[in-house]
Amino acid sequence: MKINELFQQSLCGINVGVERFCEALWLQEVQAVQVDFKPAAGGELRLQRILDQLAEL
Amino acid sequence: MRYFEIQKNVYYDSVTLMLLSSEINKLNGIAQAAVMMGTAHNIQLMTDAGLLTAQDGSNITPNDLIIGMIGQDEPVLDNAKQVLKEFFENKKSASENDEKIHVSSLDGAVTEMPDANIAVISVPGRYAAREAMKALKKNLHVLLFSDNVSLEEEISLKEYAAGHGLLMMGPDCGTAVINGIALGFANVVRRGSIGIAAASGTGLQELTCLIHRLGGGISQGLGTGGRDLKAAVGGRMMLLELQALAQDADTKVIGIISKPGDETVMRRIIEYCNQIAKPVAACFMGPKKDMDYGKILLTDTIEELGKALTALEKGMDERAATERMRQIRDTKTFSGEQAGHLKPEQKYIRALYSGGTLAYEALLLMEPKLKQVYSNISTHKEYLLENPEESKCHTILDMGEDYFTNGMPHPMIDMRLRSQRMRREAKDRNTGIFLLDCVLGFGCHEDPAAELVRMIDETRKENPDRHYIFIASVCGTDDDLQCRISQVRALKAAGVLVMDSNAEAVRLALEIAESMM
Repeated sequence: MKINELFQQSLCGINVGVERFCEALWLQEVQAVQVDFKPAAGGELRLQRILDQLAEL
Repeated sequence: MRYFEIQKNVYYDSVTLMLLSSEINKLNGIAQAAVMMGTAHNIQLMTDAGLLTAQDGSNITPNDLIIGMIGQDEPVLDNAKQVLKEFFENKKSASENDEKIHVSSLDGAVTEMPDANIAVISVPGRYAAREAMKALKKNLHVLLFSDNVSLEEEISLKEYAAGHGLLMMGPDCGTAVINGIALGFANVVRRGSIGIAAASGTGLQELTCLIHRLGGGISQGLGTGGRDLKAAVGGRMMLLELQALAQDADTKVIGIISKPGDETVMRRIIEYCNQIAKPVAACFMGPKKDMDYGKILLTDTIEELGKALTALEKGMDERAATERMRQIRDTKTFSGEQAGHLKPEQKYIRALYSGGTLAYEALLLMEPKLKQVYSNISTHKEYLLENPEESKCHTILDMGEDYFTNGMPHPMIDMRLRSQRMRREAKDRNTGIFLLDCVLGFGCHEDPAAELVRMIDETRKENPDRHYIFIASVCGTDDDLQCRISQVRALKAAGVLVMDSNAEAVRLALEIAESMM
């Protein structure tokens, strides 16, 4: 089971949003990347859905 | 005098901006200030506060940073602008100089870190499901801190995750401990062989910390989000997590915390737990459904669950574990001498909680014993506060609820709202007992005890003719950054009665309140 595989691995994290949570990972010496989130398409949900559909083509 | 500025395409996360706004609001001469990202919700908040006009808001996108301030004169506003300028320059300089990786998208993050195995997501609710699904489709396990995600989106995410054997913890999941690493608001706890599946953030924090302090240890602490046991969601993540813990060689004992869920979902969970060879103990907080729980050892409080799991981890059988969990400290010595300092009219408890589950546990313990326990989270309509700003009789407040945190940092990060509320409650002649939680760990305030002591001192100074009883529990460990023992000492030095658990703190408050009746 993939979850059980995770239990045997070193955590390697991607933090999207509040940087405080990424800082916590760095403090615990976890490899982590901080994503400074900005909503795609200027926040327009309809355009985001279109972008997602295009990405799947 | 009003000042308004847009910084196009400049991003900072919501917590950073809330804390910055708090700092600006503390400056002399500033009547009101907010620094926010330009979402429709934030534009409305700032317009309602008089910081923006309709015209200002017409050219703002969610990718823009907006600054609105009202100050007494131009020099005050200039000073505030200077503080902001220094903050932004420091931030820019820090990110240019440090080696920590910042990217602008999840795709970019996976490129930078192809071995990534987990994503922690805390973005505004309207965008959260999309980001979570993107992460899942990149084969990442997910902790989704965001709330305001629709039930349909949650179902879709969990269906996908379950179908691919991935963790989808959330939405509204604040805490996890995986492989000894604290995620979200979580604590440094000993590794061991107790695995936990929790539909509760501060519940998981309280439980893991109690286990640590009792000498036990955590293999894994997994969250599910608060709605997982509802009929529509079907307990998908709870069941997946229980399966994983059952199969995990390092987990010898399994614990569950949740509110009771839909009956069919509960039956599925109970049935599964009864198939596992490992001992299982659970705290289903709330009215118990009349069901056969089989081998599951049921507890009434998180404190009992911590004691039971630790006993089971040590190899005690169920009978011995049950005896152990029912042992509680006699708090009558505290209650007797304290009640004597209150005036006869000071008969009410006012509980100001930052942790939702801790507030809920307090409510469950108090309701059977006291008449008229009001709350902003009461499940009894007649005791649900009409106006959360106005306490009635005994009142328990979950100050992390949306009503209080709309546009404000969570009370586990920022104590201002609790401080204001305490000082207001003290003006009520019938207030005698304050009940508080002090939550430590990653993500939380760096010194909550100091802030609580400050608010208690201010309350006492403003009311020199009154005595109040302050009761607290400290959720944390000595290994947390804040160091639990230091926090406990600071609170005790200020005259706070510090109990070993939330349940014990509530019991003490109850004893005192009952003695005043």
